[in-house]
Amino acid sequence: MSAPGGITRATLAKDLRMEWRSKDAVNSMLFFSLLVVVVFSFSFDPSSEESRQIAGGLIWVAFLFAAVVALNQTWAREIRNQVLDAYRVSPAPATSLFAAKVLGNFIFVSVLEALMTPLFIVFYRLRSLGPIWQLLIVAVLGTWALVVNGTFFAAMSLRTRSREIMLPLLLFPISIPAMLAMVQATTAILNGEGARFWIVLIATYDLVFTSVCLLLFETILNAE
Amino acid sequence: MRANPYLFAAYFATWTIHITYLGIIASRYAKLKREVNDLKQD
Amino acid sequence: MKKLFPILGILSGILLSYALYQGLVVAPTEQTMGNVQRIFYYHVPSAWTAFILFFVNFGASIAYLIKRRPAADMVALVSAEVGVVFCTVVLVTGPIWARPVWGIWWTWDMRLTSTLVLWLIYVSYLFLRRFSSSGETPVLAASLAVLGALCVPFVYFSIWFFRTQHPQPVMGGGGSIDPRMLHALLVNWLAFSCFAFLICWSRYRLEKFEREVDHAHAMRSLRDPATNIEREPYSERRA
Repeated sequence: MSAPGGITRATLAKDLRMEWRSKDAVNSMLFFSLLVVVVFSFSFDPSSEESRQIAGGLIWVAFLFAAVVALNQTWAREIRNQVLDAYRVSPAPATSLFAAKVLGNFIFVSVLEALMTPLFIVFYRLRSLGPIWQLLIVAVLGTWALVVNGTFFAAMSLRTRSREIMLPLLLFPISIPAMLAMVQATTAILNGEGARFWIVLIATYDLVFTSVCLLLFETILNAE
Repeated sequence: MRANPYLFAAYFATWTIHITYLGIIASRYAKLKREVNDLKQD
Repeated sequence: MKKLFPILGILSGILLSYALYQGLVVAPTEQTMGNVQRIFYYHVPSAWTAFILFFVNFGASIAYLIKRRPAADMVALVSAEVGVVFCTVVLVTGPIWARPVWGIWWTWDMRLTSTLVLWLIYVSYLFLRRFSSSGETPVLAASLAVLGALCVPFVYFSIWFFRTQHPQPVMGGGGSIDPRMLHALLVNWLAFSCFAFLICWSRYRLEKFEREVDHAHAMRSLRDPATNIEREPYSERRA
């Protein structure tokens, strides 16, 4: 179990088991994004033909807000019983803890997306003019971008006063290019246009930010 | 040259921002000076 | 060092007045826009200065992460704060120029949007500095600064592509620029860089002074616990 992969697997399994028993994160995210869907439906006519033009933005805003709910809980749980302090003194590499948390959050947000997407299709009468598999790629890459940065900034805002407010303040500005790319790609595919540029952009963004977050996480964890 | 309200507004806004910021620095500096003086008197 | 400060102050005062004269009197009036174009002499130099300061912030943050010197952290803080001030000037003078020339205060044009996003990133940096507890602030802030700086190319690239697909009214006329206009622009830039350096220096001195006072308080309460009054250190209260 001493290999970094083993530690990642153990932490991930623990998080998944805890989530499976309580279902706190997924339930609160689901309810939250449901609220966003309902509130948005008041601001424009969801059944009109133009709804396809804004659906991309709407879906991602709902997922972004919902993801923040789950991300805020990621580390709070570990603080309660001084698990994080234990982690700091243990010889286990910090990057494997980070990888486990990112993977865990990725799974939670993906579950949320899988459950919410049918609802979006029904409520906003969506029908994609472009290929579905491209939407799947955008969803995976986009979710990864949100989750990597979100997990990192959640660990950062853990150290601040009023940490629940801090996470969106840090996460949203840095995520703007990724959000723009996700929204544009989704809208383009829904309307049957090409989205290659945006997909490449998110992939590059993912690559850069994943490596830098992995590099800096140990510094953040041990910041004193 | 003829005075232009937009031109005037832009230059005025620029200096208002800079002077406000300098004012904040100066007031913090003055407060600090006072505190140091109080410390020395103790 | 102490003598250099007032000299620099006087120098930047002279430079700024000379630059104002250059911009308002010597530079010729632009034919289509008229005098409004002279906003350009404040707007563009402020933008360049802000970008340089953000770049300094990036360098200082990396230096801090490697060497952990408090001075690097202070440089990072000061450059980000003054950079945000100059970026605010850019964002305020821009719409004032756009209103008479384009007829609108704001457009989601490439440059405007990316400058706004840049401003948001560095404001969030200052928020983090204000909200984190003093001991950890430098490391957290330096990490955020690195991520923020890495984000800048993505911001420019994505918004550039976004806006070239949907054409909008953009900057009027590229073409050649009158040498007197260029001269006025460069003089203004020199003057504002000098001024920015001066502000950064005074802000740096303030920061250093505050940290010294905090340190003195901590030392005194260690020596004599009776003097341990309830006091919030400067590093944790931001006016």
